[in-house]
Amino acid sequence: MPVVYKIADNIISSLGFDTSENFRNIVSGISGISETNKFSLPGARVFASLVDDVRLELVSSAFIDPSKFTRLEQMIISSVHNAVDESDIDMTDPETLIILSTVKGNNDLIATGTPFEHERIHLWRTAEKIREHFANPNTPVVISSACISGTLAIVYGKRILTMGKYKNVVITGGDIVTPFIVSGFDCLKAIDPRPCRPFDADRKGLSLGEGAGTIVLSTQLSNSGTNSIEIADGSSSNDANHISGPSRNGEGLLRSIIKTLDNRPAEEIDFINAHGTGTSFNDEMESIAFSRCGLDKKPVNSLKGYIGHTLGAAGIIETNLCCRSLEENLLVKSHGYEHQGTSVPLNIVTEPVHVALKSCLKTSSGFGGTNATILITKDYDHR
Amino acid sequence: MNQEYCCIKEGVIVVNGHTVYTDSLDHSEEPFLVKAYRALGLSYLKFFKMDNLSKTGFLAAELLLKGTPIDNQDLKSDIAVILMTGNASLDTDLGFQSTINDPASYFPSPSIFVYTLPNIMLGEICIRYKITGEGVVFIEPEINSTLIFEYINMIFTDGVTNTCLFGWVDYLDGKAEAFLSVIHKNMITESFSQQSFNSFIQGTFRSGNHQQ
Repeated sequence: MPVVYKIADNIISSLGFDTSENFRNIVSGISGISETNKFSLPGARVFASLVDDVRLELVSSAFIDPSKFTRLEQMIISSVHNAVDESDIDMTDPETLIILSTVKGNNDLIATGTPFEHERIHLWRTAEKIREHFANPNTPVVISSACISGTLAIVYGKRILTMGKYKNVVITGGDIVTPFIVSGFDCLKAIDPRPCRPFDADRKGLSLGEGAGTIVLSTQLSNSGTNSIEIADGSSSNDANHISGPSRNGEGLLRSIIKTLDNRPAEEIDFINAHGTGTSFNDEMESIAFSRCGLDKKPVNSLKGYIGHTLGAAGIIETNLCCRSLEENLLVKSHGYEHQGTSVPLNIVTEPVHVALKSCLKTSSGFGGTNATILITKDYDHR
Repeated sequence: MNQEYCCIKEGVIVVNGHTVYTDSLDHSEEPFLVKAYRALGLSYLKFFKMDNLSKTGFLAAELLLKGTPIDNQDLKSDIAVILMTGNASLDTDLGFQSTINDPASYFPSPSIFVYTLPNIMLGEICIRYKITGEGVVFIEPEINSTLIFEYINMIFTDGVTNTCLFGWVDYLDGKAEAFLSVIHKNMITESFSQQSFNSFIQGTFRSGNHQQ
């Protein structure tokens, strides 16, 4: 079975326009979540992690005429360019496939008075615009499975490469913060009135974030990298319990972790990057699932305290940051965490730690009872 | 290919080649999906709180799976669900947007917002049948049988999945469309080709229910 390597990546968020800039800011303990009055919601203070409009237009204008592309498309196209232009993959190659992960796509077009044609609201149309721009010959694959979309897109990318039809998959994901999304999470009482505090005793909800992320997977390792990062395994599982709340006993997440680890001993996992949204139920559920599979002593972090919950981009952005942790042997602290806030104590990373790292378990869970996990390894010896 | 399916299209519901419901053009106030639910004697109270996309997917799943071996009380981690949709949750998105458009009548509802995700219909089917296996929702302008065929072949190599529920569910502007079918791992033989799969989709769904 072919090995699937990560060969290129990008992150566009409030903390920067490439993975290095994001990682540098995160290691320095900088959070991109700040108070905004961009969404005039009746009576609500909103903290969110937003992408700088001026810089986005400047960056994207190197590749496109920004007036002809939506804000999300600008982000995603810029993200794919930044990732791909540093690799030697050919976007026009029939053996290259584009996979798009997004939860709400061009959701800003749902409000009246936008300059774009109505059809652009469709997620498949966004994917088509990206495909056209890069002149890729294959029908793009669009995955929209709530908050696990990005992680699930990586699972799908890994699997489709294993089938041998493609040589490279360009997995890109993005979402923007809109009044629609803010009012939705606000009416669910899921937004922390301060910047989110994943796994903390005083957590009161999530912070929304926007951005785009791209990870390029390939069955062929380019020679440029110093480390080989692999997507070793991945899976998904449904709770079959509730559409808007996670399973109380972590059953679905547990099942996905067990399937992804595929009998590998717990010793082979160096750290866990959790979904860690900062909502009471999600973080509690995760602690139970980690404990049930014997991983509760492992270092755990959530990256949502830096860039918020970037929805369809989250799984990709966070995976890229985990890959960077593996490459630099540097565990990132979980921003916003102070005191144990889950019934099962977790080993939350509270300061950046330089330590030899070879593997990471990345988890995601979301509405609809969905859970997805991937195992990322570095310099794995296949002999 | 000779396998079970349920198709909802143009107001007609067909199960395994038999028309089980045709939308009556009476003047009742009830929408097609609710009339069909009642006429077919289904009983699942959660149906009424679902949005139209989930109602469409649930109805097709219920008519396909009820009374089959999948319809028992055990958790089923060996069943994968792959759904595809074109309009995704746009019907409910528009409904939710209408509750926040005007600051004077700003009243967003949590029970509407949770349905502004296309994978909620997958969640509803998983809850009904206690399916805990792999799940994915693809967004395509129309049913893409190549993508489904590839996914089916791929998922059966994972060492866990034995059954795959797959198909298309779509809803917008009062137009409900669904095509669901089930395939088991032991049905993947040499005769299961992209070509035979395409003609199965063509003959049962693309050609339309009015020709049945």
